[in-house]
Amino acid sequence: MTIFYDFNVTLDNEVINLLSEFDYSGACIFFDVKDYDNRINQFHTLCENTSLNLYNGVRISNMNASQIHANVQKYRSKADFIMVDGGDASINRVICENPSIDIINEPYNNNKNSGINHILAKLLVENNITVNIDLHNVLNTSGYYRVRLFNQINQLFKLEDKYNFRIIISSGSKSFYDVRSPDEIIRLSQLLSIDPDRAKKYISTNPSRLIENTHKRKDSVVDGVRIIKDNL
Amino acid sequence: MKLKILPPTIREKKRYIAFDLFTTKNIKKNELINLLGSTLINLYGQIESGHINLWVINIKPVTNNTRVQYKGLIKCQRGYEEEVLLCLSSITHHKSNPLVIHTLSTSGTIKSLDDKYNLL
Repeated sequence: MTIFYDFNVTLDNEVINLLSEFDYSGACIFFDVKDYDNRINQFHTLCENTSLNLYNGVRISNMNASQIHANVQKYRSKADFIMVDGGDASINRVICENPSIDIINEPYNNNKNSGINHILAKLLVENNITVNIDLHNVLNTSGYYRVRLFNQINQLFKLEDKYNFRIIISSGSKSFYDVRSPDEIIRLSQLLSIDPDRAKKYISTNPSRLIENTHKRKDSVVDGVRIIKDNL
Repeated sequence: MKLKILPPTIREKKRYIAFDLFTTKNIKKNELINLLGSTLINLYGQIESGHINLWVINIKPVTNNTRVQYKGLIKCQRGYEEEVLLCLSSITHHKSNPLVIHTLSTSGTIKSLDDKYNLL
């Protein structure tokens, strides 16, 4: 049985219930930097009432380089994941150079191209950073804007083929109406001209590795030293 | 004079798709036909849409306390099911009301779908 994850969903009972109805194994709820401290208790309450493996994360958006660094340092130990919204070339560079960041969200935003070049692609691999593609934004654009988005995302896939950085696809669900089943997400990936096996990897294998990395990071004492828990 | 019905071997082969539709306001069958038609043409263009031959057979309201829900049945050309399923999944709103379609199953006959999901 394949295990599916939906990253980047909102804190909403209906959304979480529907995700577990659709046989997702886990989901990650991202909070805005300003909301994180206020809403984390709601998250823990929700965790107790669901069978899904829920993770929490901080989403950093619309900030300059120094603010990004400050917030990453502040929330690294608190949150399971840190996701930073992509922006112009300099912001993308700052994100790709920071190994404490887990996910770069839509690096193609505010760009004419994918927002990632060969140098940033190598940095993504080196620093173990994953690229997130938000299906909500793909579905809610139309006409020429959607075509441009397809083009930018396809450029990203070409780079992934060569440099092997990780990509995940998330539904970006903000309400009940945005939630899609794993089958639907795999089908919708055809919009981006990718085959079903590859789409499956983006919502199953790659998120699993991301979660694995977080567990490893929590167990690590200093860089390169980690506590190995023995179950014997 | 009414034309004689084509023999089964040269009739166009069809596929039927059952779905659940959730939205915030009531939607009529004609509105759904227009919505599906425009989404299909936007996604696949007029030439491919002509081959797909999409048609709404029936939509039936379902009692739901939290939102407006319908069960529906649509017909398409055999071999184009994936295109239709993708089109249904890509719909996000109708006249600025949020709307989502979750497909239930695909079949070659209306009867088998009706037996399973009570669509008619």
